[in-house]
Amino acid sequence: MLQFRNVTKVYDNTNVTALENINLEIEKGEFVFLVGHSGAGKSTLIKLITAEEKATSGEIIINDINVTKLKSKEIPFYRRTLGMVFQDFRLLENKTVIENVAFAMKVVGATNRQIRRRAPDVLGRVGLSQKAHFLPDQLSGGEQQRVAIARALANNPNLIIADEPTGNLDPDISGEIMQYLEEINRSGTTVIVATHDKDIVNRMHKRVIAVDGGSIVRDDERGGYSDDEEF
Amino acid sequence: MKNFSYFFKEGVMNLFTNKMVTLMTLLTVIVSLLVTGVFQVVSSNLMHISREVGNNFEFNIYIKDSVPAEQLNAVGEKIMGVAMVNDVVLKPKADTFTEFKDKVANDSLLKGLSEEENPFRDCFIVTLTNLDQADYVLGEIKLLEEVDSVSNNLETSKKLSAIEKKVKLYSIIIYVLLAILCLSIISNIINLSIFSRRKQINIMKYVGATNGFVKAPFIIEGVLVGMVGALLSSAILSYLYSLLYSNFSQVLEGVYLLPPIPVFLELLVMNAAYGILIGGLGAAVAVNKHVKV
Repeated sequence: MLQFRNVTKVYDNTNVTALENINLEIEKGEFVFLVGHSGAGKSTLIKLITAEEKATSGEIIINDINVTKLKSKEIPFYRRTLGMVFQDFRLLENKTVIENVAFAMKVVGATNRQIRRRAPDVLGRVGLSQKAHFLPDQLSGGEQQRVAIARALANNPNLIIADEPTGNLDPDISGEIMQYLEEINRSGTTVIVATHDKDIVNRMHKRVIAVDGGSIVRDDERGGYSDDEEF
Repeated sequence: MKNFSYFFKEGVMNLFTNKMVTLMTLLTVIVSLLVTGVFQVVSSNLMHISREVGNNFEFNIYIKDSVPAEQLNAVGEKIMGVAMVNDVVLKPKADTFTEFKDKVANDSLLKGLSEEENPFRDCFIVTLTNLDQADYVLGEIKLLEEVDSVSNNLETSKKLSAIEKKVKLYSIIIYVLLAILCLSIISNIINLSIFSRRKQINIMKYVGATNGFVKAPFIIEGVLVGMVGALLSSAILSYLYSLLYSNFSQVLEGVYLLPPIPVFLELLVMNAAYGILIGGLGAAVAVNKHVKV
């Protein structure tokens, strides 16, 4: 469902080669950790997947869409097939929990009826039905991240990308967030998690792709954070 | 269009959630429109006055002595028939003679002259609808066989019509410059307001909103501010103009300021058009910088 073929990314303004000749394949329904220290190329890899950056060369195919060939007009429609979760949650502060979810659906043209049916359902999946009408700043960090996950689920994406989703959270809350992501994965959605969190990676025994110096240095089917890597 | 009610609601809500920014933008729009509005009122009055002065500008058409008094009316009709002649008034030579005698009072030279020896000629005083074309119109009049000569104030009339044209040209140039200046100020102010909401724009883009979807509420917001600003600034200017008009309406002999009602209407139309344009365009320009994620 996701393929990188000889992908290289050089940033125009700085001439820095962020990624060099990346080849990568992720199957539908996989759960993948993307690890690597800051500046290794992890963020660039994610930005290429979300079409925030354009590859300098090579091809990226996601859900049968050639992301490298997308016109800027087509990008919004492509992004609707993805669900994004960020370290800093990125919720709209002036909208309630359910409005945040509804907003994501409104943006892609869902009808009010569809929203009324689906929004409470996805909130239920992250255990936040009781807090539907709270504002984000009335929630804990873990709860805010769950709202973000619900929002990512709202449009029924087949790929969820979480960029350091536990970066701002306590370890036990982090575990909880990962459980939700794992559950989503179990229902068939592909999940990619970029993280620094050694404990989580080691505990979950999922596929681990390690990036360093712009290249993939390790790709283990059931991996952990190796001890000789200092990320 | 199914999203219009959503865009409108968002736009209106944004106005109220960012009260300070809205107020600042509104004040800027009002000040900008006051500046262009004052200029508009002044320049339309200047154009009006120069046109009026032009329309009141008189040419003397002298008639040959051989034309008998009974035929003068017919000659007047002929002159009136020439294109772009506004008005024709006969000034018989007897009147000119009397006037002259009154002026020079006891000059011995004229004492002996009787009506029959009147040295003056019959004359028509002519005003034109279009001073610009004086050359052509006077040329046409000269072709009439009864006409002896025309007054030689053509040069003055040309200067006057040149001034009229310049007033018009400079008015348009200054108005456009002012408009561009205001547009850039408004765009910067709106840019500030959008900058404070770039996180929201960013989130919208990540969940797959099209640029149009992101922009629409901002543009509606800008248009609304522009419209309110237009109404308020038109009201302020109209009030001030009516004060001015009631105290000082006559500029020159026979030349008046434009009456208030048409001025109000022109202000309202121009301000509304311009306010909506700068509000909407300013927002569009400003939001464009932020939608590229």
